Amino acid sequence: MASPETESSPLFRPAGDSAVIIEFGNRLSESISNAVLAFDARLRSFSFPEIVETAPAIRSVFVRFDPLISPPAAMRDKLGELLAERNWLEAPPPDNRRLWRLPAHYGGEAGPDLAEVADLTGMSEDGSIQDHASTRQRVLMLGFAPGFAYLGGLSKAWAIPRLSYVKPKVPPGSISVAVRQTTFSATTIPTGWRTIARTPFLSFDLKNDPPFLLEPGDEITFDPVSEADFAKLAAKTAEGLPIVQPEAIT
Amino acid sequence: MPVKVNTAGLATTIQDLGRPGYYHLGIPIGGAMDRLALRAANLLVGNGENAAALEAVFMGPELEFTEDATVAVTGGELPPKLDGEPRETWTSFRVKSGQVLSFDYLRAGARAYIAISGGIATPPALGSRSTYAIGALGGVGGRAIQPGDALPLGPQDEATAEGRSLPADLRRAPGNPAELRVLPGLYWHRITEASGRNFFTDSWKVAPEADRMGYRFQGGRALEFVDREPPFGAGSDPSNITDACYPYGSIQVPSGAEPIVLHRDAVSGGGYFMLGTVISADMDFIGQLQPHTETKFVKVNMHTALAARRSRAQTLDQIRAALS
Repeated sequence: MASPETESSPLFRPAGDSAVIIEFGNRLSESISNAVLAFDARLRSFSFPEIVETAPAIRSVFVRFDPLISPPAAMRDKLGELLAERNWLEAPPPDNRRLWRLPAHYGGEAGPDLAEVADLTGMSEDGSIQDHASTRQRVLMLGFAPGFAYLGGLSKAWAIPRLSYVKPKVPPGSISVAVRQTTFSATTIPTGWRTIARTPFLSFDLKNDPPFLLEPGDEITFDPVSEADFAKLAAKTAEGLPIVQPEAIT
Repeated sequence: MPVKVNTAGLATTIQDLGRPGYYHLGIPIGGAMDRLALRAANLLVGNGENAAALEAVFMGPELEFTEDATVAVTGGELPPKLDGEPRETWTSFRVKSGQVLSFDYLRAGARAYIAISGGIATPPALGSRSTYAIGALGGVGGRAIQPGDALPLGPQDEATAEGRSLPADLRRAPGNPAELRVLPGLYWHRITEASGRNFFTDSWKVAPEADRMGYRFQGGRALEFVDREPPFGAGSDPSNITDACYPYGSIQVPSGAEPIVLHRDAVSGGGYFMLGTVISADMDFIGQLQPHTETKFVKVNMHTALAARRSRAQTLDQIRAALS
């Protein structure tokens, strides 16, 4: 059970009697993300009757199953066979990825922690905005809350810690940073990350069909907009109108 | 014709068996915290087991009926009263149009399930009527019920029986002190051996922060972590990991201080390590624990966990047989 946090080969972490987490590494990296997404897609291409659902995360795939159909040992054998099919860390990124250029209003009430973040990155506020907005970041994982997205790809300057406390509430669309990652929410959430901006784009809205817009593997850049433009775009979002058309990544 | 909500209770929500299939998008499975109690309540009034019912926490609502219906109350011991007259729990009874259903004080457990024949027919969201307040999904406008709400009912079967009762030996409830069986795992290797032992020998109490997202426990010793270099992407606290999915029932211990067992509305992932998982057969019990209830975590192996899951499945079959 005392499995070390290695990254040599996929690791099974038993998650109770009816789930398992398959870890492709312990850290954030593009090849680990590709492995996770490719293996999750492979799993979904089968319709195993015992698998209730799967979820890809930053560096692991979560599999929930019914152990009265397949006991954990048998499930593990089945998953092990699939894992042996290839070196998943060499898998290409998923097909049909899209690039989203999301409007975002930085600083002010929308991004109350911008000044502190600029201190931590060592760039000016404007320099931090410019660097953050223009970096192409990848959607690594959806989860935590409905439509909540984890993005990776920021440079070393953004290796800043999480807050030592949790802010009880940030509004939908809040863009927050820590440990070279960006997150943004589609609902009101608590967060222990520093909030620097807000996007009027909602990645989850039951009024939309489909209600979820982003897929892991998609890429994001941000387009800094004024407070007035933010308000106009937010009003369109509230009416259920699309404000961003994604581009295919080829 | 709807059921009118006169008073709502503390945090009374509409719940069915939940919405699996959206976990990868951040939507928890949701649904009744005591699933066997919900199924029994529905079967008692002739509903399908997945029909939507009310989950009342600590305190019942007051409901005014505008049509005849059959009602059953299961789970925690929250005695129903019809126009002030006591009725039995775990037993179906008829309610006439114009009558008011209210509740006495909670005698045991924490959550009662109030099933009404026809089922509550609020609009489903992502395949379920379960209220998931954080995502504003299901229920009445994505929230707990409020005074003034009108709860629509599904089509009534005229012949719904009354006086059906579930035998006492099929009513599951946690012991006192409560015992929650745990499979160590996930990031167990992050804590010291002594901490691992303490976790199972210490006595814990349910903290006031105990809700549909998770149950926090207090009173045991804080965990000590094994030294490490945080991997890229993980926070600097020793209890942080590079973010991953949180399994239902997993036990996270932020900063090593107070364990939280994640329940049906828990966030689907995050950056805290988990030291193990409460076995699936014991998850219903957690929903029936009141704050301050003394609780022991008991280490078990997979063999025991699967035997317990089979035994719970057999209990469900017996409930179905008793109420068919």
